[in-house]
Amino acid sequence: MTAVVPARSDAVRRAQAGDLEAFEELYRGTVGRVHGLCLRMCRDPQLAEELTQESYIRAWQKLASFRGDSLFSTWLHRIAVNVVLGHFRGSLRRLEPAAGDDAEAFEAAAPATSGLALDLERAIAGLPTGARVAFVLHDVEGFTHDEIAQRAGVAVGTSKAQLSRARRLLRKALSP
Amino acid sequence: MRCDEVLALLDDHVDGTLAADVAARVDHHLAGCPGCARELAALRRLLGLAAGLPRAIEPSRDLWPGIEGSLAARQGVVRGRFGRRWQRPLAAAAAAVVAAGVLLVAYSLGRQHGSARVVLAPSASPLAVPAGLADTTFAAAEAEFSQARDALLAALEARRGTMSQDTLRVVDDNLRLIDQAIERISLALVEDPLNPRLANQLAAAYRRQIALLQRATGLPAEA
Repeated sequence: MTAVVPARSDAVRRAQAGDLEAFEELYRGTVGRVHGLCLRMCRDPQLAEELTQESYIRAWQKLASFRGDSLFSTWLHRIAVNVVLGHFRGSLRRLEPAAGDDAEAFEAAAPATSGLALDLERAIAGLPTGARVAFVLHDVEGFTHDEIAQRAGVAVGTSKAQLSRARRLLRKALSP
Repeated sequence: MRCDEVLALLDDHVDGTLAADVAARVDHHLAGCPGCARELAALRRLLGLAAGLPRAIEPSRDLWPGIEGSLAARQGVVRGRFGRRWQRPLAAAAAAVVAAGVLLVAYSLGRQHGSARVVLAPSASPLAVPAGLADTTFAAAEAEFSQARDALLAALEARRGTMSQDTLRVVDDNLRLIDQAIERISLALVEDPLNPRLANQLAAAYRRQIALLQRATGLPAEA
């Protein structure tokens, strides 16, 4: 269960004062959404758990800089996005398509079933990395192309192209 | 507009980012083109499915012990009323413990895994060791920790009469919290005995408890 944590809740204030018990309270209320984001973006359960943990460690380190201009959960979510993109940045050249990162690779990873039986989650997991990241951030999490481009360090056009590609591949996978 | 031009604009069209006049021309084409209209319907169906996905997916295990252990190991953070004021002295005390070698062995935890046995050094990768050695090391580590802890608890008991109720409450609260952390991490280790992070977290929790007791028993008399 994930709760919307107000910007200046008592737990946020206590955590900012160094109270780890209060930070655990915030963790309990938000971990589902943070983990959901990490899992969808990286599709590896073990890696998703590690990135989730790293997101909270990063959040604790940055707590003093949280001014309450947004919901705490929104602030935390953006940290998690940065952690996941940072993980990809080193190994996958950001959102730029890589060699072999194409529709054929997607089809090989997608489930064998078709039509309505096709699980959208599994289809998303089978997308090439750049397309998957763009789709999850834009169409599931609601980030704009400007935000995605800024955080991933790519051009807005790259984010749009990857999203278009993801939608096209998913439509194909979900078609009867 | 031609079909290929319309299809190239469909994503921007459903996202509402087209200029009004371009959007009107796309709509005009869609009204008379069943093929493009089907593409639009499929795209909207996909976006509807995506919007309906659950945003939260709970992890398969409790990740908090790992987070807490990492924070404690990195910063000497202690829960509750000690707050940041106590972090530096506790970290210094913990460092003193390490220097004295009191808990050096406690950082190495042996865990049996199939026919091989594993020792986890303070910040190193698991190292395979001959069968029998790891369990011996682990048992020795826990025995040394218990011995040090019991001696410090006895010293604390002897000093209770010289400490204020507020100080005693803070010390007892934090001892309880560290005990709970040790219990949680130990349970997690039962589920995942080869996890080096958990082993390091357990060692860090032990270190925190010894450091806390050393600090408490070294406080000047208040009462």
